[in-house]
Amino acid sequence: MPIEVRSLTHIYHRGSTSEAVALKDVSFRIDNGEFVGLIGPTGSGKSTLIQHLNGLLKPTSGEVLVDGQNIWDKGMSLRKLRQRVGLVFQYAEQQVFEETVRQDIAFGPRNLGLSEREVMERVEEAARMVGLPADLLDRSPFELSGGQLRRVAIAGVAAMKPEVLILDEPAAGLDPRGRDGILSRIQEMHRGGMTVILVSHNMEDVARLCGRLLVLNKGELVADGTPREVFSRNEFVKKIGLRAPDVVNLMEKLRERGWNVRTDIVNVDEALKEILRELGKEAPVLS
Amino acid sequence: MAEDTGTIEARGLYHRYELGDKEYVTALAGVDAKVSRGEFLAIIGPNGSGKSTLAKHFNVLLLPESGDVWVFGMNTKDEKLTWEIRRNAGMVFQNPDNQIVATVVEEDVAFGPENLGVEPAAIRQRVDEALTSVDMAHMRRHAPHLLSGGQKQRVAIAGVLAMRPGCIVLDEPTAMLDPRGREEVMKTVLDLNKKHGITIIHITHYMDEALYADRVLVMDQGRVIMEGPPREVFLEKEKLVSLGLDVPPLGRLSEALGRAGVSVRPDALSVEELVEELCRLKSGA
Repeated sequence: MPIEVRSLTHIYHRGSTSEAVALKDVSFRIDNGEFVGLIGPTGSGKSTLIQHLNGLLKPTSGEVLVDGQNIWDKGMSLRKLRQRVGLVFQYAEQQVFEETVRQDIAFGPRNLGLSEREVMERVEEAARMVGLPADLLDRSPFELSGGQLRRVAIAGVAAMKPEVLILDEPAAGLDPRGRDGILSRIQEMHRGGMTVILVSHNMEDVARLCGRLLVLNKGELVADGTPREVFSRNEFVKKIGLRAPDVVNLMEKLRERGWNVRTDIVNVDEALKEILRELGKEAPVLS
Repeated sequence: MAEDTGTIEARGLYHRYELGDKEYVTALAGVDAKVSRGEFLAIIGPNGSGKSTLAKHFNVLLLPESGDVWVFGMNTKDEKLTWEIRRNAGMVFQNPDNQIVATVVEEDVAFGPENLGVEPAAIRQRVDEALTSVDMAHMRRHAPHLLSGGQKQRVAIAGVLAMRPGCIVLDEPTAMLDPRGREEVMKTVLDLNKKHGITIIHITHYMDEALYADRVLVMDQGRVIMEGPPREVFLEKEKLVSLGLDVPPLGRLSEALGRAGVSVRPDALSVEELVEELCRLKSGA
């Protein structure tokens, strides 16, 4: 289910003294099965943009097309759209409210008119997808850790079986293990065929996970390319207040010191290869 | 015995939260920790390890169930000292939007000293100094809600500074910030520590932020289980990973280089350190 955004502009409080242009003439297309990172400084329009993709916000001008259909056309059901485009908000665990984990995850699918058995199957499948142990399902959400609760919230959206999953900072505030755990689950869901849009301030994470990055700055789409393409423009990345992964900055500093290394790298393995080549050593055979 | 006025200290600190009907979860299971005046201490640990609970004891937001906490010689159990301790050990929290109360930046910073009954002229001076220290003086007349996350956090820090504290306790102040905001806050905190001698207790999940500290304290299950200078602590990668923690991103590269027979110092963990190490090796080769 491709998503296409055409000349999207969004203005908050239009006509009032607090009028603010949040998005300005943004256009892009996301195809089935992509893993897209949406990055940009605070206030660049990321949250406004993702809320347009499942119809929570209406464009001031421009269009959002899903499967080639304008989502605001007459006869389009926003309810159906939101089943197909799932959105996990930042700090989503704050929205967990049911008495048990199971009931909380079941809340969405229950509104789909499925049988109780189908609902429970979906709950258990979603719990597996996000890595929640089955024995937690009948506990009260209050007994869970922050990282577990975050998984419950993601499972609630995953249980709707959306074709597109949008996550706003799903790993913020989690410890490194919690962060890796959630991100690798999202990676698995992507491998299972879901289109994923990940909003993140963590450049290391998006460089590692995403095939493509959309970069917003002051409401405008200022870059659209692979992490390698985006982060190799390091001056530009810094200028808009982002920061390339440490390995990129390392390669750049080495170049300044006369090393003949590539700077368009995105991960530790590539950095290692470049450094070893320059030192005249062989890369080790991975065991 | 008079307590040491040059330290912040927890001794045998025990705290549990009530879950409901006689059910408890132990958050701190006997913590001994000491921070010297002027020190920069980072606290790392998995979610639920007790970091925030410990921090809240330094600010008398929580009281020990058993054990004691002294802030520059003042026992937090002494009710007469509560406000003096809070003035002395100010706190900055994770969410920049939950900490600002006024509609103009400088009024927000003035809020604390006003409550202390400081003279208006002295308040003016304190606010100006505090905003200058966090590099926000040029935005004194701005509305806080229009600031970036990093700027909001710096205003929150200025609000604490206006109380003339000896210590600032920061509980994941960068978790919700973009990369520039993180850099701004870390630079500010480091500056306050190095130039103004303010004691810093900084809780974080970003391992690279712990590199700024003089000392790192690692918590797990309500206990302090490791402590030392960051570069020593991060040498114990296996142990940290088994706790659910990590080393800073470049630690992985240093390690991989080591395996490939390039003997960089394993404690070279920042971009600058690794560049120096590699250049040294290359010119020696």
